[in-house]
Amino acid sequence: MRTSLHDIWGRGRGPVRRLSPHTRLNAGIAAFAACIIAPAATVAGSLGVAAVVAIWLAACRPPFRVLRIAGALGLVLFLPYFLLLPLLPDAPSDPGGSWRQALLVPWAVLLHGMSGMLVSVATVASLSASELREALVRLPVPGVVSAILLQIVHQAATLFYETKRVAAAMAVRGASSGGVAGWRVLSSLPRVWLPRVVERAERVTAAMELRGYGEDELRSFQRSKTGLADCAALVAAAGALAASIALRLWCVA
Amino acid sequence: MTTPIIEFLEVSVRYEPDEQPTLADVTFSVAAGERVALIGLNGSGKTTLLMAAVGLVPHRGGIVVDGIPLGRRTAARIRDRVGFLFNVPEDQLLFPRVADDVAFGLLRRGASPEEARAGAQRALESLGIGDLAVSPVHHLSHGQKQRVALAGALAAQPSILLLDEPSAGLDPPGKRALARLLSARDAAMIIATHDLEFARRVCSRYLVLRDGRIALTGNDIDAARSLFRLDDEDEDVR
Repeated sequence: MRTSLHDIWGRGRGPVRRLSPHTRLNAGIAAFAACIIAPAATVAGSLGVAAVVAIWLAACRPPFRVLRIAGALGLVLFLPYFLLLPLLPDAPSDPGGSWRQALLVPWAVLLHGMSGMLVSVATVASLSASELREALVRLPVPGVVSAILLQIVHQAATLFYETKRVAAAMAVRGASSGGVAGWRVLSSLPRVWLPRVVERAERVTAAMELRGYGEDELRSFQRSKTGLADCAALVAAAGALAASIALRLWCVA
Repeated sequence: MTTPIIEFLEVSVRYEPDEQPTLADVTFSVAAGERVALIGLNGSGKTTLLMAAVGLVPHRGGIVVDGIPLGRRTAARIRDRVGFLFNVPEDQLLFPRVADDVAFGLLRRGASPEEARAGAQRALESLGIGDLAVSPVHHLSHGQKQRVALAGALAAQPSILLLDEPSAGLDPPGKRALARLLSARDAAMIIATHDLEFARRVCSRYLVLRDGRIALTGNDIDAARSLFRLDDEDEDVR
C-alpha cells in the first residue's frame, strides 16, 4: 500500500516500536535537539549529526518512500541557500574571503534542516497518533497544549481524506478533462473546500464542547511501564544530546 | 404523571435576526425512559432542537434537562448526562483509534483505563463492531463511523440519549440491530429521523416538526406518515 506523507504515523517498523511511547517521543526530541545544537562548522559536529540521523533512522525504520519524499523536500528547501554564496560576507570575491568559510553557512542550514526533518519523520513514523497521546500524557506539557496538538494531528488527517474526496468528485465531474470545463471545476476548489473546512471546524468545536474534550487533564488510556530497554534508549539519547552540547561549547571556547 | 426528564417551554431559535426562526415556540416534554421520534422534512428544525437541548445553539424560552435548567453555567453538567449523536458522525470522532474514542466518555466519568477499555469494548460489541476496536477511525466506512459514534454515546450508559439520524448510513441488518439495542435501553431518547420504519420500531411517541413548529404529537405513526406522504420512500427502506 502506498504511504502518503501525512499517513506515516506509526508506519515505522524499527526496533523502537518495542519501547513505550513516551520513550520514543523523548528520544526523538533529544535526537532532534542534538542535530540542531551540534556545530556544523566542524568535521566532528557534521559526523556526529550524520551518526545520530543514521542511528535514529535505523531504529525507527520509516517507510522508504516517505524517507525519499522527505529527503527530496529537504533538498528543495535547503539547497537554494547555496545560491546565496556570492552575497555572503565571506564570499570568495571579497578580500580575505574563502570558499570554505562561505560554504559553511549554507552547509549549516542544509545539515541542520535535513537532519531535523529526517529525525522528525522517523519519530513520527515510530508513533501512531494514538501512541502520541499516550506519550504526551506523560510529558510535562500543559493539558490544553497537548489536547490542541492532538486535535491538529487528528483533524489534519480528516482534512486530508476530505480533500481527497473533493478531488475525486472534481475529477469525476470534469476537472481532469482539461479545457474550459476543467478550469471551471478547478477554480471552484477554494470556494468549495474552504467553506467546508470552516463548517467542519464549527461542527467539531460543538462536538468537542459536548464531549468535554480538553476540559479535564488528559488521562491515559493504558498503563505503560518504563523498562530497562526504555532506560537504555533514554540514556543513549541523552548522551547524544550531551555530546552535541559539549561540542558546541568547545567550539565557542 | 411521570416527571419529565426533558422539558422545552416555548423554545425559539433564530440563527439570524432578520431570518425566520428555525424553531418557533416549541413546547413539549419527554418522560424518563420514554422514546420519542422527532420527524420532519429537511430543514424543519430537528437538528437545531437536539442541539438546543444541550446548549449548543442560543435559544429563547426554557429548557430543563434532568431537573437542571439549561444555562451557560449548567450546560456542562447537562452534557455529562446526555449521550449525543451528531448527524455527521465523523465530526464527533476526536481520537485516531476507535477504542480510544469510545473509551473517552468513560474515562472522563472517572473510570480506570482498564474499566474504560472494557466498557468501550462492550459498547462496540453491542453494535457488532467489536473487531474494529484497534482500527484507525479514518479508515472506516461511513456506516462504521456511525456505529463508532453511537458506541461513544452509549458506552457511559447515559439516562438521556439525543440521536440525530442514528439509522442513516446503516445497512438493513445494522438498522434492525440498532432498533433492538435502543428498544432494550432504559433511557429517555429523542431520535431525529426520516426513517419512519425505524422510528416505529424504537419509539412510542412521534413529534412532527414543520417549519420549526410542532405540527403533530402523538403515538400514531400513520398520522405522521400521511402528513409528509412518506409512504413511497419508506417502502424503499423496508
